[in-house]
Amino acid sequence: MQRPVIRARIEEAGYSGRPVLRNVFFEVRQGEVLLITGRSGCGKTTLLRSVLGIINILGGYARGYVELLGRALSDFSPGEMASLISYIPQEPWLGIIGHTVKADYCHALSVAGKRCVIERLSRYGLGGLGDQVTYGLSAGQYQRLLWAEGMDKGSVLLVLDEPLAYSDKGFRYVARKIVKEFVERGGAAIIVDHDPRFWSDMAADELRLCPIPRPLSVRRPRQGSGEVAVEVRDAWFRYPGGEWVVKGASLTVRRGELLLVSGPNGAGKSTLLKLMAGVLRPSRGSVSVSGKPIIVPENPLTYFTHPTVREEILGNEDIAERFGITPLLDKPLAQLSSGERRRAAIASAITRGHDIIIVDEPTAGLDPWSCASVLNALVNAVEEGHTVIVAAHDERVAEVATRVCVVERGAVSCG
Amino acid sequence: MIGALVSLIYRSLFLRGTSGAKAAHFLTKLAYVSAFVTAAYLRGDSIYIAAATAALIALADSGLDWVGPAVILSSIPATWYALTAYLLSLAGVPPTVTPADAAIIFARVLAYSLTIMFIIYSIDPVSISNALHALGARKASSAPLLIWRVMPYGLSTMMESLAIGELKGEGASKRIAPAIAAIIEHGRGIEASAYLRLAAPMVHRLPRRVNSFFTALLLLSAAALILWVLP
Repeated sequence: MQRPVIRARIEEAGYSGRPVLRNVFFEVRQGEVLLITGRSGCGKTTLLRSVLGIINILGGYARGYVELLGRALSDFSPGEMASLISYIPQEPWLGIIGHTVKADYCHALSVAGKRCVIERLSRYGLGGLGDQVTYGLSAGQYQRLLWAEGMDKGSVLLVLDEPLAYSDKGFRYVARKIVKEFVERGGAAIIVDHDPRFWSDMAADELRLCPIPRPLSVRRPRQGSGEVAVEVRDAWFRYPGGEWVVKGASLTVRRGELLLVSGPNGAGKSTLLKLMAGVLRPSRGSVSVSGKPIIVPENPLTYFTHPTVREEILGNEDIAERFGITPLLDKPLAQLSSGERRRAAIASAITRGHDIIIVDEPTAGLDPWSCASVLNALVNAVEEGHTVIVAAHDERVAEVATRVCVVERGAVSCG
Repeated sequence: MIGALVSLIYRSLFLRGTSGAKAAHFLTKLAYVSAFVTAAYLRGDSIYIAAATAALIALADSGLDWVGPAVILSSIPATWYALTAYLLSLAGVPPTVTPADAAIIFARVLAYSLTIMFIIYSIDPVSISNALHALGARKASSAPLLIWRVMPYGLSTMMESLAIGELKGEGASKRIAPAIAAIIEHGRGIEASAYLRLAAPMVHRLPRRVNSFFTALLLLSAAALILWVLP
């Protein structure tokens, strides 16, 4: 029998004295994968933070013990841990400390005692991006960079928190193959994911922290009217000092449409959305908007103005009910999970009377129930006359979109 | 207004990754800074040479993407100094400042500010990390990378937050607190998510490619400054 790589018993963990989870025990041996599932906000990320011993940095606490390779985790130096464990956080931009792709990659390997070979980045779809500043990367590219670092430093344990939430379909399969090779070589992996079926060929054990309600059915809304809500004409855009990100994009979005903007990581989807919202102005060409737009970005925290959900949605309890955020109304936004923040932001946008709602990755990291409730809310918004524009890799969004536009290398083609 | 100011700072200090002037050999950067300080100390008007060479190198590096915002940003303190000196003089506070004197104050402050911004712009955090590593401060060697990661990220977060506030119909003053809260949250998030990396020492130096063209340009500029002040 293979030896355990990690053994953990978390008696209690939570924040500000409020427990989030209790009595969780697991063991992962060499060549094994443990999948952690459960509804958004039920403590999956808290569990990973407790296991890694980083929950206290975020004002939380954890009681229990964690053993890595038969020794208490607290006996390891940070350098040893950095070498043995690879961690991809749910919000991938938080795992990056280098100002360029190359600096970050080489630093991650350096602290693990390895030398970097920059050419290896091409395996992760980051070839030629070594000198790219990291603050210009998309969320999917952040995830790819963390994958590259995690795999190339030769760890024995992967701790992955929604590691594919922002990744395009092509990379999802690449990543699954990488994990499979990793565990076949004797590594162990703990993966938080809402889609256990995706990892089914690895015979992973499943640890369900809390039940997920059966998702509601989601219907596709009616087609939009003829009236133009957003018109992009031959728009070009590049960030200062960078290359062209959007190249001659043209598209028309009609009122009452639910438009999905898809495409590979780093293709320019988020930039196109920001141009349509008016957050960015095109370097060339034009964007005209007829209505009151709003954008909920990939990191929804930058959307919020107020400290609680109740204030952010102007006390509208009806919309809170529709979005399943009633229990969160008086909880500080800082304590919400990524998925909860996203739902709260979309609810706020609708409450505040915006008729063109632009959302970047609305379903990233959401369990099937939360995903269906967000999609239903977006469908309802469309049927009430709003225009919804969404950038997503999630195939569940494609099922409700009235039209799909694909962005590839900055160019747009619409179906 | 605040958003535009944040954007100018962002573009003036953090435009590039490791290419162009940032990739010049660090010894030539030290030579340039030493020449600038020496020249400015020995002969006041050498600041114009320093500013002109800085602007020319930056033009060769990134065209108007850096020079434009840097000149606009530099003109803010320059205008402030020139205007206050002139207005105080008009109010009777000595010394007497004529409009021509005010113009000289403007030009000097502009040149100083532009040169200092160029020096900051050309700093490569990888060089500092490697220097700290070589000096034995291996844990601290992550700090320069983190600073150059967090500062521009914080500025871009702030720009995004202010722009969203505008869409929500909120004044900039109302958005500053949540924007700062988002930046603080981001900092804490990095501290936790990258804890293992931040707490662990770097074992190897980070690879760095030197750009010989910009190394030569900086050396020439340093030489020009020294020649200018030689008797």
